[in-house]
Amino acid sequence: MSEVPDSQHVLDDVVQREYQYGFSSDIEQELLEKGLSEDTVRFISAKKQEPEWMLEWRLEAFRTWQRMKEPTWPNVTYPVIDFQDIIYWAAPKKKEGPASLDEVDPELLATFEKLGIPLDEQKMLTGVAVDAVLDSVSVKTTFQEALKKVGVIFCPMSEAIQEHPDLVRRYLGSVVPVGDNFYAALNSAVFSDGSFVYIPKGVRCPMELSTYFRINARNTGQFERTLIIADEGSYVSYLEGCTAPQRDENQLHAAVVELVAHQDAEIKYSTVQNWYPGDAEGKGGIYNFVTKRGICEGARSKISWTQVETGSAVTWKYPSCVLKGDHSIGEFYSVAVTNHYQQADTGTKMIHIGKNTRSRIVSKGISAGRSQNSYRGLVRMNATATNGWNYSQCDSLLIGDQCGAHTFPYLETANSTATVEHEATTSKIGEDMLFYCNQRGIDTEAAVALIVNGYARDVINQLPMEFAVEAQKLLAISLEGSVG
Amino acid sequence: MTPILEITNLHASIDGTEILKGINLTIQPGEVHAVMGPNGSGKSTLASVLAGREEYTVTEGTVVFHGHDLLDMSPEDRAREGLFLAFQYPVEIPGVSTANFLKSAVNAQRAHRGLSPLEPAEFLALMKERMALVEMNPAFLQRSLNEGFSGGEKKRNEIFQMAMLEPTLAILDETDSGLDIDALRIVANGVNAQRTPHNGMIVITHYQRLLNYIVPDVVHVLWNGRIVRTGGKDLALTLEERGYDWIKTESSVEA
Amino acid sequence: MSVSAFTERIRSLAQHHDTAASEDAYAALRRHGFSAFERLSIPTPRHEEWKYTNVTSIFDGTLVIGATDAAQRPATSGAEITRALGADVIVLHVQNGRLQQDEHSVIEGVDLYDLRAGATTDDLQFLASIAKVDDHPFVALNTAVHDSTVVIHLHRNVHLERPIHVVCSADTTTSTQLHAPRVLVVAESGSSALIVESHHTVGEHAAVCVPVTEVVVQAGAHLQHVKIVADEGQGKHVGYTAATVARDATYASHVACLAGAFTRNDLVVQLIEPSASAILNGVSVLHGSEMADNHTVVDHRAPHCRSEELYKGVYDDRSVGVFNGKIFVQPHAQKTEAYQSSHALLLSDRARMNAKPQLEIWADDVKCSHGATTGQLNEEAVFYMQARGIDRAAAKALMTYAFAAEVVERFPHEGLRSLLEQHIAQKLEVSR
Repeated sequence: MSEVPDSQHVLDDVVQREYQYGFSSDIEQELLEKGLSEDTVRFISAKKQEPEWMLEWRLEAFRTWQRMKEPTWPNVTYPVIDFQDIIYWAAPKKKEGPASLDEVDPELLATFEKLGIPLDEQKMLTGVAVDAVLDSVSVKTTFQEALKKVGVIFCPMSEAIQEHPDLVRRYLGSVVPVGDNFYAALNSAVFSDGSFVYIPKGVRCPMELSTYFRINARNTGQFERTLIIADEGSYVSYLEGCTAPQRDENQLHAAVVELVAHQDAEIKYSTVQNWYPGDAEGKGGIYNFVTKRGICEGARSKISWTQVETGSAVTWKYPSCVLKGDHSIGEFYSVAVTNHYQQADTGTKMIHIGKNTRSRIVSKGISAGRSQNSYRGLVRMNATATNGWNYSQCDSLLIGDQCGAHTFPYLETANSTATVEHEATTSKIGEDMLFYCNQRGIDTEAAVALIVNGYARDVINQLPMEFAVEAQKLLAISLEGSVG
Repeated sequence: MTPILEITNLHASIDGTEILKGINLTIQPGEVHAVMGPNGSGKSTLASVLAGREEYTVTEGTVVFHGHDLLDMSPEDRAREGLFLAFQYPVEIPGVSTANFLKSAVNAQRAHRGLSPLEPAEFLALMKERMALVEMNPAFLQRSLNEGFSGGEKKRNEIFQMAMLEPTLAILDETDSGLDIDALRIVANGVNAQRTPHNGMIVITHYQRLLNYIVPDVVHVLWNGRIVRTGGKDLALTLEERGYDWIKTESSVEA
Repeated sequence: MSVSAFTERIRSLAQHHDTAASEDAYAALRRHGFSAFERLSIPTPRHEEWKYTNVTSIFDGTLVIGATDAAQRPATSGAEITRALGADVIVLHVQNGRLQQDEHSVIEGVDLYDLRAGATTDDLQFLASIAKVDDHPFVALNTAVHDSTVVIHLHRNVHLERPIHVVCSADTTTSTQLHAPRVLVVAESGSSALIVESHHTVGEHAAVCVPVTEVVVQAGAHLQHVKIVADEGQGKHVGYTAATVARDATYASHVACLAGAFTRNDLVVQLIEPSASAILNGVSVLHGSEMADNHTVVDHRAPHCRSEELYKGVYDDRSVGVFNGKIFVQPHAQKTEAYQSSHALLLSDRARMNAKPQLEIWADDVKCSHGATTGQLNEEAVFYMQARGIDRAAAKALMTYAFAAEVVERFPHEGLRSLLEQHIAQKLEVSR
């Protein structure tokens, strides 16, 4: 009798794949004791030698957070988080803040090298400047000098607070207010670092900017804060990547990203999120509770979010656009893969305020194993959004019959000239598709990778070239298994 | 001479219902065999079983392909060993370009034979050359596989893929269905160009029309899961004249 | 006046019933309704299912609960529908929640009667079995305060040719009213029928109607169920309909909201056995400050089932439309086909539409899709008509009419379709 490898078998094998960034580094670290209080906030602020206004801002956030409740509406379940059982500060001992390469701990350089992020400018991908963040601090920002020549500021947030206080005070919390939500408030109180970008008027940033986030220390939470300001007529493309060691306990990551695009400016923000997702039994992994929002402040500005989400045990994330300027454009392109026991509740919000504003949403969810994958999106056409236009396409792909795909779009229209169009489909990788590939000599595992990448193509195409290739590999790895 | 394919007493069923009830068929290098029969006679089942579709269970019989047990191989190994099925209903794969799909297929076959992958330029040149056989526009290479293709374009694409994979045994499953006369001529020309003294073909069809263009060496008539008549190309003409009822009546008399 | 005053009235009513407690199954059901309502209460917009529709404003302590003995006037809009259904229509008048018929009648294999406290029919088993008292505040409220249940029971293989019209109305000439009509439809295997349910009020005072309709569609039965809310009076409507559909059976729901200050329809259809199917059509045409909220759930609980849903709405002036359509595909409901689309046209800058089409899928071998749009008429088509000499306003009205009529075309019964089309045309001020 013929022994035909069935797709179920391949998909079962998916469960066996390993997380390739699961190593941890032995870096000498300074750790604060577990727990969160005003003292913790004061400690972090003092450690950063922050001005008084910054401390006050943090304390206000902390007090706001204390009055808030953890949200329960996302379609995810996880044990109660004990916020007193988390370390809020972990830093490599040797040096704080950015350093010249010679001063950086060699073990640390090796860590990033192993992650495929060499911090030596000679070795780097040309045309990409990197800010490397390990746990609570930025360890190195490359190409700062080259960027400075055209007036672009790309530095750790802690440095920006010292060096560019006017910009930080003006914009920090302007898009995501301190009390926006539970995790944003927490982040505002305890964020330790992150990237700051300012592109001056009329400047097209000469290289891709990139931040690489790495959680290393045990029991720590990572709370980074990113702020990108594109002044009139400027352009920047920014990419973030993230990984964490393989650990049995869950770790919390609660970031806030704020984008401001002024008149005629464009920000392209891409994420390849590959935090440790937990093991095949659902043990361990990162809780990824992130608030990302951009405002198209000026006329004809544009913000584009692209995300490839493969990691984290639980994801809760809605990169959003507030389209305030007339003729401004918001875009959201997403591929979210969940496997094993991963849960993702992700999507976007497009708030149309200005006239002739346009938004496009392309969301591709892929669920495998026993995972749950939800798209949650809001499109709101305010009464002022004359001729507003939105198109959303939300597709779900299910692999196996143990997982779930959920679509929760909210479409609110208060303007008669606005157009909102939403389409969603659910499909599986059909047996007929796999057989067709098999019949051409392509084995089932390769066929699954081929089909999934085809399915996600509209999103992958939005990524900068170098990262598109990475993302494709990541998708294949996420769903890889050998035919038994 | 070793036959390409030797089917002996093949029985196959789906969901417990027997569809093939003892097929015997041998194909020598260079031969084109037509398998004709009314709807439901088991023609497409034969193609599916040979290609290794898992929903069919072989309950009896053997199939030897180039001296190897075909039924023991996975569908992709059958393909890599040179068996090609031109699908009656080619599948659409969104987002996967025809070029990318074929690159995966051709290189999987080459790896199986211990050959290195083709260089991109070499591969592109080869694709363009083979597309010309079925008068396909190279623009199709960048389009998602079969997505938005017309019925005729899908069938041409099948024959183009066949030309790329150079099978030793091609099974054309109702490749003529849904084609107008011009498309039929183009597809048939593409197939004829690939006839060599070394390979064989099984042309499955309901109508004699296709066999005016792809002239078979042998014609089999399949009815009720068995080959009830075998003859030369004239048998197809007789069938066309007298209709399948003729076979049904005769066979039931014989049975 | 507030929700708490209303709740207090319900509570005192419950106590009143408690003192008159009997061991009757019907009384037990009503007590269950009271306790569930006590727990669930009137939902606020913080509740996800009531996010876009604030019901707290319509329930207050001034509402008079329970039927009055005042002479009841029939609604003319109800009579109009009855006429449209033809001479052989079977009419059931339900006034202030009570069937105006005492005897148990049997017409062409269909039992029609009022199921009241003390009754001991087999149909009791179905009561509150489809609409779950503990899950929904207004099912709980209806269960607590309703007077009796109108039963329409189709026997095995009965193909009822005559349409049934259930006219639910309230007369508020003397006081405000909270009325709670309750209907139970049992379609035994192989039966078929068309049931039209319509809701009306007459009188100057406010009325709130909280009807519950339960529908049991057994194997191979085909049930067409039309619900019309065309309230030109003071009535507000918070209705709930639930159906279970068995093997090879079809339940087709057709909902028309053509007038009414406040309309909320919950429709829950469960496909519980293989090869069951559901059709859901809905049309709303509103103006002024009218509001219609349609919440639908299609729950695929068995393999090889199919559902197809189309809701359309046209909103002028300050009217508000809400559509929340959920499709659930439960684990093992493989080979499901579920399609949903909702489309809205806003004719005024003050009109609003909130849509939430929702897919929740736990089975992989399914074909599911939903589409939702809010927008305007096709400008190209409007221009085409202008180019043929039709003035712009007339062209737009004609296209708006055609947009809404597309749903009406899917409704059963020619006379009914023609009446609804006429209503829509009138409302949109187009000559057909």
